[in-house]
Amino acid sequence: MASSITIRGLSKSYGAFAALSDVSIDIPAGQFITLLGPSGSGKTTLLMSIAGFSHPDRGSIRIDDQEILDLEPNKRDIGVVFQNYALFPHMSVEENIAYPLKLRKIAGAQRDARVKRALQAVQMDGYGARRIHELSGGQRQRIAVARAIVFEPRIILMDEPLSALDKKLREEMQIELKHLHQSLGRTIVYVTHDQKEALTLADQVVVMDRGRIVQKDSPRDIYEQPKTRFVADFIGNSNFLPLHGAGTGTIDAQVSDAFRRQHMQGRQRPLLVIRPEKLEIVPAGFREPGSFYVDATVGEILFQGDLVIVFARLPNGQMVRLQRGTRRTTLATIPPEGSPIRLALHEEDAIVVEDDRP
Amino acid sequence: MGTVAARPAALAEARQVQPLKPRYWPFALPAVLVTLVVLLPFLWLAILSFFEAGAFSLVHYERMLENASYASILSDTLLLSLLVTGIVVALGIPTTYVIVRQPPMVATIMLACVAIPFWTSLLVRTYAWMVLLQRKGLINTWLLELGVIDRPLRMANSFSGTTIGMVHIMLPFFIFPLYSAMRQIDPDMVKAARSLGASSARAFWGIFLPLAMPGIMAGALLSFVLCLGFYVTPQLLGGGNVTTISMKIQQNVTMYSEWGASSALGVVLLVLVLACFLATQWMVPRRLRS
Repeated sequence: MASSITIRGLSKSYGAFAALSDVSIDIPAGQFITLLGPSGSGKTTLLMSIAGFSHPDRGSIRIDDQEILDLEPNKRDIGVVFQNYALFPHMSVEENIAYPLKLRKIAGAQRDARVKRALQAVQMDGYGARRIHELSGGQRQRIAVARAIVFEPRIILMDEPLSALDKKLREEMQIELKHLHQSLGRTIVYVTHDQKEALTLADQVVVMDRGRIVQKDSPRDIYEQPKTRFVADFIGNSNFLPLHGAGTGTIDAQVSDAFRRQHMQGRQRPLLVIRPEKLEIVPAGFREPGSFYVDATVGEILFQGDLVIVFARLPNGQMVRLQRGTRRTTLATIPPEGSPIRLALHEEDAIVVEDDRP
Repeated sequence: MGTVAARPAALAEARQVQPLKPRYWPFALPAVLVTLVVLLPFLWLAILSFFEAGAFSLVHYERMLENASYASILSDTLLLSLLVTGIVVALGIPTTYVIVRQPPMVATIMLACVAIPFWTSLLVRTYAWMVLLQRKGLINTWLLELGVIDRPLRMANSFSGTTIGMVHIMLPFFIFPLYSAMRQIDPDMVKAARSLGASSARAFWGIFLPLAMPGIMAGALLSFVLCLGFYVTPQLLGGGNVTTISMKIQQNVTMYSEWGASSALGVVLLVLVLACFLATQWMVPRRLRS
């Protein structure tokens, strides 16, 4: 049924630009993996190398125990959902979905039954006779998924399949894809540049930057324990405060010795990463051990409906972003613009990374 | 809310054809002029074809049906046009496919190679072919020296020579529209077919070619219609062994001053062209038309 993917030392360059450099990764059978990164990070090149449309210069890709790099794309038995769906406009919905079955010489009642089952799986039962141009974006997306799963490929690859949909529909489809993954039990590799989507869908998130894998972890660990400044910066709206050099003056660190030993000692230039929703507002002068504290002045307050964003200015001019819910009682704790504010970050909510930027 | 509700209404309005406001009427003048210049002479010719010695008569059309030479001219013209278009399509599709698959820089250079002969005078190119194709021409000399043939091939002054020359002249008319049609095909279409299990040949025949069909039809139609009315190349390269409708029209006018007979031929030619146009419109499915 589901297959594992083992990638070793994969490299690909276009002239001086390294799209992939020495990428190695193990994807266990049946997992939902999202490849997340900015454009040019190599995530699409990696996906297309698995599909067979990009040809790496070095390395190996094995599905189960079979090396696939020398196989033509049509021999790889991998379903691909493309960004623009790539549905064939000269065929009906049914003909599109039946196309991979036709190529596999599956005919008659069996073909009809499998097309029907695929349509049911994406909740498009009864749309078989439609033409592609009669479908909405969301419906096309479902048909593209149906076409990629109907021949029961061992692996399904998706290249930003939801990026053309509006936000609400995209969130609905994310939940449906997750359910589809659970019912199919296939290995899915999913490329996206949308961090929320990556966290929502995945068993494991793979963050890529400049052709390399920088971290591979569960969504929760990626968010709460980013290993580098890049990951902390790319996922979430983080505040960065240096715990070294001149910047330390603004921070009142009342953290435990265990925290210092574990996170701060042994780092050249420790950098504190603060998630905006983890900051607390505390009374002036409050100094209980176990937290970082900063004093600031309330700046702009942005009301977003479900959230309120507060910008606070530190004495050295740096802006810190904090985020609150909009319950009446929560809103009442936010002082008005221009007032002093003391913020606390509990050490268990604190993230420290190495500041690798000059 | 107001703007959301207003948008569909505005769209519906935009789709309706608005009557031209009087202050814009001067802009229609060129269109009117072109229509007059194109349509009036043609109408005049069409009327002429139904008159003989000042009285209404179908004699010009009857002659075409009775005189066997007209039938052979018509079949020659159609055969030549079909043959040339067929070869142009067979050569043009793979050529254009190769060009489309190149990176933009290379594609531009390759298109320029197609365009440069296209910009060269028709007459020059036809004479060039006469030089190449004649009994003691370049091609015959080479083939003889290489020992491929032991007698010179008869290529100039013949149907085959005319075909060769016309294929060369028609190719750009086919390649350019096809290129723009193929450019618009999403490259992911072929990739999708490949990932679903199609060999590259199957993906080409089953997916790429059907999607390119409107461009193929447009290019083939253009080439065929131009062939039907072609004069210079068959006249020069045919060496009197090929007679097309347009050559007959020329003869009727200059040698016999038979305006009525020429006009009737012109009408037949136009009807043929319109029939081809309608046939291709009908053959290309609506959903694939650009």
